[in-house]
Amino acid sequence: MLGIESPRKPITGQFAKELREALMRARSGNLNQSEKESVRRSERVLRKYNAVWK
Amino acid sequence: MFTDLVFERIDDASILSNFYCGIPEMDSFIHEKLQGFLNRTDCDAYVIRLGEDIVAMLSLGDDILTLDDDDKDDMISGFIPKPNIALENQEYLSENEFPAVEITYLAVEKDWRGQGIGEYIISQVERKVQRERPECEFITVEAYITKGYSAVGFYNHCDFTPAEPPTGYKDTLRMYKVLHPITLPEKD
Repeated sequence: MLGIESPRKPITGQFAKELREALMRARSGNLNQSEKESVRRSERVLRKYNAVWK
Repeated sequence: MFTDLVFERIDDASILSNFYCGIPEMDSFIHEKLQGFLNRTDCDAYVIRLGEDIVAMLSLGDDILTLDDDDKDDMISGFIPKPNIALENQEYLSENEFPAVEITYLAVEKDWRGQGIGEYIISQVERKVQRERPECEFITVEAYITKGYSAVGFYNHCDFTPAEPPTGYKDTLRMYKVLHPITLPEKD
């Protein structure tokens, strides 16, 4: 975050395992139910406005 | 008919002189220190407008998620089980650095909070990264935690995952979100 010193360390242990598993599900398309709901929720959220990037 | 939410690139923080998100530490940073960061060429900052109102501000930066090698070595040696995903080619075991785009600042104007604008901005950042930075499979954030405020709940709601346990040595919690397909197959 801008303005806050946040030392970055390698991700370890269970956090690393979960990240690898989540990435592999995303790459293979085998999303779990929670991830599928996240995609559906994102689709609903994006309908709220029309985004214009300038 | 959709209402336009305009993401307008800025290099002058004075445009935010009347912007308040209601979190004192963040308002202080926006009014007093943001310009110094905008002067750096690697700060990609936007105001988000709804009509004439500035409803939020956002900045993005580059990040790398680095995984400790220990779990990879243990999986190769069989000391710990590999993830429960059958892959023909488990090339992921050779990867331990992943490029990402970081949300380096996100603040919603206090009168516009609670209306889904922050969540919408996150979804748009995902789409922008997928369009413009296809090599990035993650967005990351250092979620701010202070005595009177925590952004962790908001980022949890937006399906971010902690990358570390809460620590006592910094005021943020590193979190990430894997970028998924824009839509699901119809059968899902």
